[in-house]
Amino acid sequence: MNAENTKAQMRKGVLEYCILLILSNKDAYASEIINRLKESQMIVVEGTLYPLLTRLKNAGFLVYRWEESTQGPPRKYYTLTETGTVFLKELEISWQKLNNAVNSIKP
Amino acid sequence: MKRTIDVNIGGLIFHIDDDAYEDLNNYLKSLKNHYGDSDEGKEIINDIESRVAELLNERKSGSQEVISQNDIRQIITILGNPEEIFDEEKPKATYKVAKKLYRDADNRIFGGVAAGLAAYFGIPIALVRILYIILAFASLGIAILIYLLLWIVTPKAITAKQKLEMKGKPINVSNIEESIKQEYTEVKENLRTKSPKLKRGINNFWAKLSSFFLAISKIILVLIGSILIFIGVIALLSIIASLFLSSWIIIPFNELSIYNIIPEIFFNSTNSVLFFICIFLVSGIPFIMLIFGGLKLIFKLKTNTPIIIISLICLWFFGIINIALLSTNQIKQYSFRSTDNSKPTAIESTLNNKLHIKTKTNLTHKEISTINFDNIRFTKLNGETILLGKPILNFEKSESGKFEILLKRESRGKDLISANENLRNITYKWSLNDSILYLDKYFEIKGKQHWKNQKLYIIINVPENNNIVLEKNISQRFNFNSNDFYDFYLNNNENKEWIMKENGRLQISE
Repeated sequence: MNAENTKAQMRKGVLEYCILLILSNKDAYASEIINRLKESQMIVVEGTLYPLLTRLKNAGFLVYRWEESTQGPPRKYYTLTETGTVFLKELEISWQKLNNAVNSIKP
Repeated sequence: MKRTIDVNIGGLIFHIDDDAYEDLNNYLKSLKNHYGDSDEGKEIINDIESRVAELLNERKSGSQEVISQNDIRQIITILGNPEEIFDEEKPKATYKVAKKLYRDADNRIFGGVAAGLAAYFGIPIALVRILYIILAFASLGIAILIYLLLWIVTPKAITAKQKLEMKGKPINVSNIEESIKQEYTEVKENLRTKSPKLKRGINNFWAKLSSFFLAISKIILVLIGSILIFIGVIALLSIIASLFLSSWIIIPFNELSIYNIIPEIFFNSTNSVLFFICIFLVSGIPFIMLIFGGLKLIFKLKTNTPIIIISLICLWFFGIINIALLSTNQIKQYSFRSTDNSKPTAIESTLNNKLHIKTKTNLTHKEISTINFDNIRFTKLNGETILLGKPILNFEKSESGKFEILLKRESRGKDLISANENLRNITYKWSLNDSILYLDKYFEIKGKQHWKNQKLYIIINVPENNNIVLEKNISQRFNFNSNDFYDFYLNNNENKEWIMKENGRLQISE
């Protein structure tokens, strides 16, 4: 058991929460989300993001539209849906509870 | 020197070394194998491919540069090794927010039932409300009953989680293919994490089979639920119609229906109301339960209020017990029978040896359509219900050598005394004019009596070899014993003369 492993496990848990947080602020491209997450050191490999984004979209929490780009192929521009906002709220409550739980255990 | 390949990545064209191409191809293939053939899987692969194209574009400024293995290695590092990506995945890969029926308390007028239904089916609330009002009229208020049922049964969406489930993406069984695919991915994930050693082929087969059956069984449940509701509603409608509106179907706005008649004929007023309530309970409650069950099946509601079911069952038993008690009480009213005979009255006919017999209707108004049991008719005259009965006419050989008429009354009661009292209320009129004996069509039961199986026998004694002339259609006017009836029936179309033979039977006189 090393700390990296556990850290990875913890990150796994909050990744979707972070994605929804970023999108609740403003709409974004996949690459923007990736950069933001990299800045906060939430992800190491980009590949993790795409399955997550697609599944969040299929669950109805996100929608996207295509935008043409001068720098390459057209890109998906993601927006948080109403259902997504409700789901985000639920995640926030869960995160809060978790936080409080851990804090209360700390001596 | 190396060979280059022109490759289309995410819609852009690149020049790539053939060994770099191999690496990239293997990378994408392993991703493809993992994410599968589903629409979702294909979308993920496309997204990743687009990202590869984006990254390559950033690195290659001129279109003359060729992508090398090094470049591919870098890209894979950025995107992540397949193992790294798969490792980062959450074990439960699908977000199944099963859509559940809740009451939407934020959008309520009464209980938020309509709003909840609107959210579940994804249609505007106003539409649901309008439809419901129309339904309420069309189903004579049964829709209101269903609304109340739903109000009781459906939980309110309070927490954020519940509100999410209320509005969530519908697991729509009408979209069978999508439903099956969803089951397939889930089952496949389960199998993958639990039995990694099984060969892929078996995995896929079982996954496909079980997902198919899971989806089908969901559809069947919804179908069964709908059928139950349908049966329940139709049955309740029929019960209401038959109890309260039956005669409206034949004669609109006729006052008479089972609801009107039964009280006055059988019971006193409190008992009859009670009887009706109990009939409705006993016949209606099973169907209400049916509708209940159907709703539960369709919307997958949990019974958190068994109280409702228990009280419904208790009401049902209450109804049954009361009906039993009322019925036994009624039966007791008929346990004793009493008859009386009057003395024979001699009839002098002006014609020797011949008597005409005709009927006379004793109703001073045209008969309104009535309810007609066996021997008894019920008519409403001036708002009062009158019991009339058809007498039973018998002909016998006279002992005294004269024409005679004899009336025999019969009635039932809860004891002999009551039976006697009851039969005294039977009144009947006949009159003699020259040689014609006029018999009233009905005997009357005076004084607001209940039906007690009252009977009146008219016995006419005819001397041997004397004749009687019966008007035509007499077989329809009275009740007869079977022998006579047959004879009279055959000769219904004209007035016939009959002669009394020695054996006491009438025969046609030529």
